[in-house]
Formats: sequence, C-alpha cells, structure tokens
Amino acid sequence: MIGTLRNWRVVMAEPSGRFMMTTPTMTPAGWYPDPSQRHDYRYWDGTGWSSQVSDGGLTTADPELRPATTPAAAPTVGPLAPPDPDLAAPAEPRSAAPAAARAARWKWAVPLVAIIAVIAVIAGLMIWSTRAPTATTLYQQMRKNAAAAKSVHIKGAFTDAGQKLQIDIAGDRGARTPGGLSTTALARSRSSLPAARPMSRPTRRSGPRTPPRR
Amino acid sequence: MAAGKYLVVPTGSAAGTAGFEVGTLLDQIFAQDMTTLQSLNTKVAKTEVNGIPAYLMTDRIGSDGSKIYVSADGRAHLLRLESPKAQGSLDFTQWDAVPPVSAPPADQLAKIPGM
Repeated sequence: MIGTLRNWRVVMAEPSGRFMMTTPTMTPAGWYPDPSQRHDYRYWDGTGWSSQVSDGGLTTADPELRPATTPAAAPTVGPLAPPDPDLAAPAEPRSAAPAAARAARWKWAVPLVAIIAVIAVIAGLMIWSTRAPTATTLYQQMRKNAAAAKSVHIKGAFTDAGQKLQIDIAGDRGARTPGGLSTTALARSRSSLPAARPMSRPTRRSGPRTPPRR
Repeated sequence: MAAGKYLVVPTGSAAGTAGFEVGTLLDQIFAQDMTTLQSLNTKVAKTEVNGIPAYLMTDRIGSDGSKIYVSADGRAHLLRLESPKAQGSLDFTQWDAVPPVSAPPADQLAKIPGM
C-alpha cells in the first residue's frame, strides 16, 4: 500500500492511526503521456507541462497546443508512471541529437566502406599480378622465344655416353658470312677435349652431344 | 691443338656443321633433350642465375630431376638447363644479342685434318 503511494506525502496521521492522504507531492520532472493526447508524451518540468513533446522517440516543441490542464491536474489523475525508460530517455540527453549523431556516423561509414573495398580490390590485383606465373605459361613462352631467337650463346658441360663434353657456342641461327662460311660454323671450341672431337665422327650427324636425352 | 681457336668447317659439311649450328643445336635441345611440360611441376620458384632474376621449373617427383631456369623479366628466356642424369648443365645467354661473328684472323684458325 505504501509502495503504491510513494509519490504522495503523508502529512498527518489521525489519532486512530489511519493515514490520511492530502495533496500530492510535486511530480518529478519527466516524460508522461500527453494529457492533450496529441502526442505520445509531454515533458513535465516538475512544475508544469512544457512545450516539449515526443512522438515515436523524436522530440519536438508544441508550444501552441499546450494542454489546458493545469500543472496540478495531470498529477491528480494519478501519479503517472514514467514512460518506458527507452522512450523517456530521448527527452534531453539522448533524443534527436544522438539519433542525428548516429546518422552522421553512418554518413561517414558508407564512403569509408567504399574506400576500404577499393583498396582491397587494388591490393588483390597487385598481389595477383606479382604472383609467380605457372610453369605452363613460362614453358610455352620460353619455347616460343627460343624458336624465334636469331642468336644465342650456349655454354656448358655434360656427360654423354660416359664422355664429358663441353659446349661453348655463340652466333646466329643461319646468317652467312660473305666468304661463304656459315657464321654458325665458326664455333669456338674452348673444350678441354680434343677440339676436333665432333669432327672425328663423320658418321654422326647430330654433331656434339646435347644435354639430357630421354 | 685447336683448343681456343676457331674451326674452319666447309659450308655444307653436314657432318661437321650440323651440330655446331646454333639453330640446329637449339632445335635439338628443345625437341629431344628438354624435359616436357607434362613432367613439370606446375609451381615455379623464384631464384637467380648468374645474378639474373629467374624462375625455376622442376621435374615432378619420379622424373629425372631436370631443372629449367627462365628469366623472370616477363620474356621467359631460357637461362639454364640442369640435368642430374647428364651430369651437367648448359647456360644460355645473349638471346638475340650475340655480336656478329666475322672471320677470325688466320692465326686463330685451326685446320681439321683431312679437310
């Protein structure tokens, strides 16, 4: 019983011990259902209804349509329970201003996300472009280049049929000197082997050994 | 002997010139000696050959372990062939950049007996 009357002041007690309720205490400032029923809530400043009203969580001012009820009238209807805290809260500190702030943050977020996405795409493309190519690509390109090459210098050593051979040959594929000698025939032999080894096998048409033969 | 000197080979001497021709040698290497694409690992490794950035292509496990190095400059020029089986390697340089060869001086010529 007492609990439901917490907003009422007990001013005197009859000798019989019965409590007697008199005028209500000052209703604390806060948001209460709009007595004029024009809005969801209207702000009670502790002494009177203010022009601040709230609809759907947004506060606006409604000075022209202030309820006719007197300040004391509203509370007499009964100490109204404060509106839902989430709705009452928008009153001052967290009303339209925080909502506007949230909207402002989202305005930042959209271009920010777009920028991050663009950067991610660019980074992905860079990584993709710098990654090592596959053997297939390299091998085919290598063969194509070699087939189109006009000249090259080949040098090395290997073993063929148990014999260690060396190659050091450079020149064009097919250019011929004015004297009638093929430039490719001017192979310089720096071999430790007898220089004429390739020539010493007139029956061998493939000439000097080449590397790994399958 | 003839080491360090040029060998004079008559034009058309198939026995002697065939093997010494760069083009022929290249064709033979690519047609017969080089490991095939099918036996290569798909992935390549970044490395260097004589200071030149290169990609290394290797044989799959079970093959003879040949290695092919190509330039990493986007042109994929063959730089080196290595073959454990043939116990050797060949370096390829001066692709399309070999200076023109002219006839060497006489003291640099070596004659081949019988030619």
